[in-house]
Amino acid sequence: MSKGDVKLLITGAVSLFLACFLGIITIALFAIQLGNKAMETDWNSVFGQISEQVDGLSD
Amino acid sequence: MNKTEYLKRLSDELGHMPYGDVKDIIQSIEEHFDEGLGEGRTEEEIAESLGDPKELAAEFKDGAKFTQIMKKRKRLKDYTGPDGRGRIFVVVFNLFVGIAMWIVLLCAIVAAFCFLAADCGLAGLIIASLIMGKITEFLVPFIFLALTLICIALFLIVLLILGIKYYAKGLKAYIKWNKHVWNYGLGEE
Repeated sequence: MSKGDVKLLITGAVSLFLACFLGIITIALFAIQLGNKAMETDWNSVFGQISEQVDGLSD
Repeated sequence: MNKTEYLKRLSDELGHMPYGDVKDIIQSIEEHFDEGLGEGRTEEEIAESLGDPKELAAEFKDGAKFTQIMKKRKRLKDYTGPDGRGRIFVVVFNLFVGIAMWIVLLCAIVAAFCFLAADCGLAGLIIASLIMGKITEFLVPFIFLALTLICIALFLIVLLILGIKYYAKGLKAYIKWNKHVWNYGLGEE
């Protein structure tokens, strides 16, 4: 294996490590922000609307 | 050709090699002549068994050792024809393992290329959307997602460069090995 190949291999390994690291942070950030959004949503009114629509369909 | 003539021609052919190497080679050939003479062979017979000095010198220039060259000579001398078992092995091995293995590896390279194209496309789309201000919600996660995709793209590029290079090298060596087994059978150097 030549010197150039070793350099490429190191670049690949570093980028894979960074990709995993950043990927985990990305998932965590999405989860946090989606969680916040879910907490802000008034689920009672959302489900209430859905129930009304379902009732309307059955009538 | 007697011993002196042979050694002179050989040293002439080895002219461009380092002095120390030439000295070692000449010494090993002299020892070979002495051994042969001890066994009752003539100088001419020994010279003939060594082959053309030019060819011998070329083998030494390729980095071969004297023992390796003699082994090869012996194998070629003893060689009686293609080994049937070797040919059967080549056919069966390629039918069930060899060809499938190289096709799977090729598919992996093509898949990595497709992943790279998809990854670059997605990263480009996110970056363009971020620059144009289309993404207002989840801004920070999208920035991190773009960075992750860039890192994945870099990794895939490295993987493809090394993969293609070693695939080509490996395939070349594999074909050479197949040819060797086909011609000389298994268990030969």
